[in-house]
Amino acid sequence: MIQLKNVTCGYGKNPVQSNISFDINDGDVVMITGPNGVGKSTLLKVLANILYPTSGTINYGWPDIKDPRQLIGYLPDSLSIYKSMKVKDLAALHWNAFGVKQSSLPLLKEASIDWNSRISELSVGQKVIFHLSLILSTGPKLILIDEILHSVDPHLRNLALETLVKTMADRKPTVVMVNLNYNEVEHLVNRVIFLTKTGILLNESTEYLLENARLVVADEAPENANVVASRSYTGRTEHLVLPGAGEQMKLSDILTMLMVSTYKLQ
Amino acid sequence: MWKKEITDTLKQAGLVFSFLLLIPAVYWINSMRLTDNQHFSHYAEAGITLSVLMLVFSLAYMMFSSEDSDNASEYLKSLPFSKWKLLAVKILPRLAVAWIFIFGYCCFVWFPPAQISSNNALFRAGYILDELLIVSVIPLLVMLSGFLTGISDRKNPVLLIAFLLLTLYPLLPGPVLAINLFNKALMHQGNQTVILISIIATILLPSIVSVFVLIPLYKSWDCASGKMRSQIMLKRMAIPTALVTALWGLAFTQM
Repeated sequence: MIQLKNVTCGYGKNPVQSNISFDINDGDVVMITGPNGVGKSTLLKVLANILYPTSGTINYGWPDIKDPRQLIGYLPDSLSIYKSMKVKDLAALHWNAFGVKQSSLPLLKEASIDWNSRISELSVGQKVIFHLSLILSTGPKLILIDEILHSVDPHLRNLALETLVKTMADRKPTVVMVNLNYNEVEHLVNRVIFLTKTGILLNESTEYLLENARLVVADEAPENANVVASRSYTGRTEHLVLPGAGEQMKLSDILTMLMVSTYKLQ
Repeated sequence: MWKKEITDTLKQAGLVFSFLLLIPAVYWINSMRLTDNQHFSHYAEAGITLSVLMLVFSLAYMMFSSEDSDNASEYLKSLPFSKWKLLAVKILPRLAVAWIFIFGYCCFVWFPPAQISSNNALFRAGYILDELLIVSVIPLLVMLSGFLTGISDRKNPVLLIAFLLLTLYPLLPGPVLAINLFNKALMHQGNQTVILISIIATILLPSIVSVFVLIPLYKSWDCASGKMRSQIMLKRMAIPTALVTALWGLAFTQM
């Protein structure tokens, strides 16, 4: 289990998030979402152990591992990779760094990536696929993906997601992804952390959300119910209650409503 | 990683030494233009001196150029390398190349110690020691400075000037101050070992101490903004840099 305790993180004197705590169970597939600028990517960097928290601790639950990055596969949103190197050279560097013995990357052929080509010659989608296959090739226990799949064409995105699903089925890694495209991954995740500027607004399993989140259409917010979000939409006023009675909702609708409501509060 | 850094180092060194091709061109142009042109060896010496200096500083300055141009700093940090290994991987190939060329330069171009006219054994020993220190320590200081600017903001001119003052101190004002100290010590007939240690300390300590105050910052090196780190670096370096600048001033008054 990965435990974050009272973590404050950010850049410089002004923290992006303060004193946040949550646990991630082994094998969980967590989506971190929330409005722009609330520190989702920053939190992912902290989890990736490449940005140190100003205060607080992270316990990965790997007592025998000296450097947690050994078991982390991090796919940033910035296409951060040595683009001037050849595919084969960077793969060799990566495997050498992680101390694994590999000789090929299965996704390359399907993404039409030549082993001898320079990374700068690849399309954005191919770069993402290459980086993803690279991080998966070291068998990470924790996979961190930061939104980047949005910039990939539908074919390559499908390829990436299928590979991810296969990896999750085979190896049961913990996956944390920052995501704003809910439809695409709602069937993959089993926990959602919704971040706002003031901290974690929601940290629930998708099972709980689908069973208990309900939509109430009424001008006034229902009494004696925990209304977590409200919005005016296509000429009617909707309220999200958790738990409560009302219309059943899809995960993507729950999160979209939370997002709209959060923006109204800001 | 070693392979990448060695390749980068050799490419950068090759780029610097391609300037040597200019020497015959400049010599040829001048021999057409000037009636009393100097011998080619003068041009070669000046060109090689300049190239060796350029090599050391450009290798240090371009230490993180591939991370900057490829936007690969986050990727580098995500690899499970310890900070000390990264320091070694970045510095050692560059330092090795710099040392090889400086050593070659000293053997063929610089005045060998035997040519020193002074009969004073202590002065000769001091000179040889100084030469060895310049050959070995200055490139190390320059590489450390290059590494530190690389993990912060190598485009920050104030930071670059501060590091230049610190790294060039043992080359220019340090020896001037040391020779003055040596002359004063000779007049007072002081202990020779103490004099030697004082000379070394005068030449090296200010720069070494200035670089070492940045160790805590190096230990907290993560993927946070380099610009922010350079601001903290400048604050930490303020007092040592001010002291070294004062020593530069003092040396100029004694020249």
